[in-house]
Amino acid sequence: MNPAKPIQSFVFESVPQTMIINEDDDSGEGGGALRAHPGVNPLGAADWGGDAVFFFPTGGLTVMRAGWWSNCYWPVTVDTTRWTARWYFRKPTSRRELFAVMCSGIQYRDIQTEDNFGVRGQMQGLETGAFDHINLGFAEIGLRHHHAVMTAAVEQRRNGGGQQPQRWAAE
Amino acid sequence: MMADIEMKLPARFADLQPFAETWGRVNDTAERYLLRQNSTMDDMRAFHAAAAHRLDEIFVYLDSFPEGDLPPAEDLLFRTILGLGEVMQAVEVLGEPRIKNAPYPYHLEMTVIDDSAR
Repeated sequence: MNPAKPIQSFVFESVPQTMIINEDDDSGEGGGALRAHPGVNPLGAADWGGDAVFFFPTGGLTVMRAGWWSNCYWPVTVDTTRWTARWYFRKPTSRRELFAVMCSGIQYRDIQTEDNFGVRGQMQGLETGAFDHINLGFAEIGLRHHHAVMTAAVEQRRNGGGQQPQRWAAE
Repeated sequence: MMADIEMKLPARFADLQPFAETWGRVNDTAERYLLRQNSTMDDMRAFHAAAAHRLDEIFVYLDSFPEGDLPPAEDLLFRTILGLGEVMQAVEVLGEPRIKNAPYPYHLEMTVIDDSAR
């Protein structure tokens, strides 16, 4: 219990969405059984919190202890997109769990909203012409990788040659 | 917003009555989200101080009732406490009622679908 965040603590204790599962956890469906699934935790982390898989550039899937969620970004025009997200939780068995699930939905909604409007701000900044690029941190290796592959694919389509996207993907 | 039906909390939670007058009048996630955006931090901190540390007591009480519809006073208590989900974000996470860079008022549809029978 974090005394400064009693509601968040109550939510995590009531529906453990983002709890870490370690090697000592064998608490049935949400613990040992999930950890033992061959598609989960492919790197074998001792403390596992979740897996995130990205389907560049239009979406992703995140699997965690008590549920999973998907994000889809559907291109509508050159400068608009339609965002849809689905969160899946185990069905609440009490009003306590229902409250915790609803709070979890609010948390994810706000996190994603903040991220989406951050991206919108970047796009608006580019549109003004005030700057022409975005800096990506080292940790954003997935995005950098996919961007490089996509750039190579576009160049190959335009010029009939250039960098091979398959080679970029392999590297 | 809900009409003035039963607006009295159970006697043991009567001290939360001022918050039922606002958070207990909304009945879905979209209205609660808008209420947060329109609330002051002082109001939400007061709700947080009065109720956040009583969640266990509140849900032991609410879960003592059978599954299904709650009596009017308990239903009002549940609706009121659901507002703490929005208050949690403002007080414990964001430090403000609204999300930075998001337009105001910001509406986002959240639909609950029970597809457990599939």
